[in-house]
Amino acid sequence: MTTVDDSQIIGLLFERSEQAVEAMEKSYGASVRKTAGNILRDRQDAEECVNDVWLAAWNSIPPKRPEPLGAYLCRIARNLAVSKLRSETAQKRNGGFALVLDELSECIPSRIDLERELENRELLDAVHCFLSALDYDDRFLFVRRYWYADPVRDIAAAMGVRENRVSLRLFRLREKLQKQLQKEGLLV
Amino acid sequence: MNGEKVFQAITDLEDRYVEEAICYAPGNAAGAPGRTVHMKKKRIISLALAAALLLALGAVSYAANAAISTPEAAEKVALEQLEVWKEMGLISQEITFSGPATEIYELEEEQGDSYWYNRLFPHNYQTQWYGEGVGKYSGEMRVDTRSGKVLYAAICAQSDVGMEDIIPGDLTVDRFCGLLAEYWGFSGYRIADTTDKFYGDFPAIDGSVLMKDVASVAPLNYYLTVFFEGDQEGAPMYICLNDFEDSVRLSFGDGHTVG
Repeated sequence: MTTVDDSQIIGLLFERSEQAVEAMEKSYGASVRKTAGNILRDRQDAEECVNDVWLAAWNSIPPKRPEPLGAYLCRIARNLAVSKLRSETAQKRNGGFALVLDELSECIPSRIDLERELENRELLDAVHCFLSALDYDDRFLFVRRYWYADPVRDIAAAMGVRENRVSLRLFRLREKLQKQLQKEGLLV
Repeated sequence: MNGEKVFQAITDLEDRYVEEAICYAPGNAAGAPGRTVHMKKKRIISLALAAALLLALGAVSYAANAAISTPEAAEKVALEQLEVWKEMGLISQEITFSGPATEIYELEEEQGDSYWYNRLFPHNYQTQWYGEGVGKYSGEMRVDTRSGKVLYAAICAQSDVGMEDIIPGDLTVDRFCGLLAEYWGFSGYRIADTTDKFYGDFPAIDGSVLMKDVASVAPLNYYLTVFFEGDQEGAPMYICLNDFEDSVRLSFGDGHTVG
């Protein structure tokens, strides 16, 4: 829940007030920390990442005036965490995050059309189309799992349902996405 | 790797989707009103049907079935059952959910027994202790409103903990299954291989293995499949043990509907 209004935070950043960092931490610290932690799976790495997010926001605002701010900060956290993970050893890509990637692999199995390497843009458009047809709960599930890389148990706790139900629903959503990709001609 | 490709591709997911999922708030969702109307209609029809059936079946029958008819009663029963398990030696003595349940809701898809007219009443209750401020232990318990027993439970201990924070150190798999059979009123049990699309594949474990050591057999988690003698149509029941980096978790009753 936002505790300081987005426009106030952006105002503080434009004024180059150091209170802006405190305000971002208060309003979005938990979300940003979780986004980074889900991918890095290491508290210290995640904490460093969070600090880098505040720095990146400080450097980019102004001139940017992102709306909504929460999504902007979480996006920076996700990008920084993925970059950090890539720059470290393969062993570092462990446990939960590897599982998220494995699950996503199901959507594009070995039947991928290698002659026409998929462009990120095409995939993204297909995912947007897929998400727009889902109801709120399914969108929440998909985005929390595959954008924020949330563990299944955290999603279950947030939604107040059992983990099994979340896993089953995610399985159905992956199947649905795969069908969507086939329908769009992105899979052979 | 294809998974990475998809993950990378959706990095630029539109802000509205990212923002919408920052926290779970179904009431704020765009497009929800249409669906709500539909659900309301459905609920009104269900309620009308239920009311008619209730009258037809008689208030006496309903009263007999609805011994646990409020969320408060369900929470009370759940906490009492937790104490019963401690006395039996099924779980660690120090387990406690501090504070009131964070959420209690009816499980509308669950039925009291196999007779179709009892599938409407009563519904079981899910009692949960999750979120900030619940303390060391979090979890959930599903209360059967007919028997007053808990059909499913998940107990999690967090931060600097080991398996013995949720399971007695000397409890074997055999003893644990035997105690569960006793609690639910079954005449015996059989430990089997786990071969399930969603739970995964795990070999049947030796009954003499200590419960606290089970999770170490498989990385992060282990599913134990048990068939209870007298259980409905031989449905398997799953027991799960997780040994995460900063928490441990035990759940039992997965896949087990009525018993």
